[in-house]
Amino acid sequence: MRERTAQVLPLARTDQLVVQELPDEVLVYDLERHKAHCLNKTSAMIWKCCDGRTTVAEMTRRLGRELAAPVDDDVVWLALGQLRKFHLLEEGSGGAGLLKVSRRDLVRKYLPAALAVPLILSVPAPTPAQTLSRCLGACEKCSRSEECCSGSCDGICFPCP
Amino acid sequence: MAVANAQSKGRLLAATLAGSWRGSPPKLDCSLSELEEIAPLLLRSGAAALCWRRARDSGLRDAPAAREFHQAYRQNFLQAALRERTIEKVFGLLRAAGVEPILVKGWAAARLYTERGLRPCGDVDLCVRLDQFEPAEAALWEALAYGRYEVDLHRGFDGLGGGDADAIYARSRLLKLGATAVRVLGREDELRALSVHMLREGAWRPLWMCDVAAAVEAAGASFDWGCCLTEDRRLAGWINCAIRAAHELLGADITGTPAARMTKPLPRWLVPTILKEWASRRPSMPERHRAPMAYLRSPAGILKGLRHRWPNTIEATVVVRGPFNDWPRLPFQLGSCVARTVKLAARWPKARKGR
Repeated sequence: MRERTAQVLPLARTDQLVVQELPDEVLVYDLERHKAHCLNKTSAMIWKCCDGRTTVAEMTRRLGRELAAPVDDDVVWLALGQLRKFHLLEEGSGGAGLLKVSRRDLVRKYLPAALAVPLILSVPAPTPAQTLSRCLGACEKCSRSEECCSGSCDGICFPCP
Repeated sequence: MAVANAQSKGRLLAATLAGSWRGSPPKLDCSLSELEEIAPLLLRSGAAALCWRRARDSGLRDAPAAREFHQAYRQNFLQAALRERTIEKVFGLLRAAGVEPILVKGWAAARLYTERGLRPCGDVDLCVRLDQFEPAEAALWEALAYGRYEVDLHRGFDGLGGGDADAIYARSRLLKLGATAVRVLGREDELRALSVHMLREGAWRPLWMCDVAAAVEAAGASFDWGCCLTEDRRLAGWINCAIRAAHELLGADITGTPAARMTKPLPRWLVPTILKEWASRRPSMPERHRAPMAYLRSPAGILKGLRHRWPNTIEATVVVRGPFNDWPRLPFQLGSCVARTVKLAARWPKARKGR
């Protein structure tokens, strides 16, 4: 199984994503799915390595260098699994061949070394209006206030010029 | 008892936000139970990320409430990035139609903070000259952008303290945003707009007072206070009261400002009204914005609707352009209700026609 997956060359998705880097994490907003995610440092490092040319073995080496700690490839597999789950890898870039790794096992294994195990958190997505999705404009027919961009509905959206 | 509780809860909320807009905010000094008590208020009012900034360097960093504040910070951070894309598009659209807008509040106010993500960006609020309002609206409709982009277009500057449009444009600043230059108010006009907007909305959001505090502290030596306060003594009184309230409640440094030289105390109704609004789980103003007139359909909702439409003392005074002094506020509140009813009645036939 490891031999088969050794040829996996994951490629990070870039289209329809808004990416914001913070000192300790990376925030990603998926414009297609209207979902927001927060990648911790380890996940973000691995995601950056997903250029479609780098193997898991090479990613593991780079991660070990960056973190100045011994790391084995389970950490990378876990991160890739999460990245795939949250649609942050290109479809068909070897995602199907990813090894499944238990996060709980990794936490137990790396806790003494204080290595941050890859983690992707969901962040409450900005409201639809903030993401350019459609809400009803002034004077358009509405049934609930939430449908209107103005948040005011009385049969039609207010204010009606 | 309930009033006393509201006041102390409001004070607690004020204490958690004190200095939070600064480059080096003071460490958060409150207990876990206090933080949990005011967490829903901070989250609802958009000030949670400011509290996160103070909590992250304190022992409360890992408290469940602090984790929620951290999420709010992340959300604001992404929201700012998304808003910037919208602002660029809308400025492009309007300029193509020959309209030069000025961006106010929201993203423009968020720039006053030292870190992105501390303040939610909200709507894209744009002011245009009176004669450019129709073309601006037409341009936005044509591009289907009005609904899509949540643009709040304002006819002139009346709702933000008014003033001569030519002079406001002359003092405005162009800021680079991606490939475009976004026009924002000059510093003096910005502080006036933030203060008047906060008061006009009844000061129910503590975030708006943080905006005022941040703008005052950013004023600097070259700030033209005469221009900010204008020659209108009543307007100057409002702005000075907003600044002094920011000093009293949030510890804003107002040294060297005209507000600091005032010897008369703040009107006795001002701070209690603000604290009551901040401590309220359901402030009237957002409820009123959510569904105007919808309560008329259900008799059971009339009382509730009327309660939400009863203006607080701050809003009422500003609506009827009254002075901030110690006179009773009831006449202003009644006057404000009458003024709003007249306005609504004038708008009603147009609204029915639109249906």
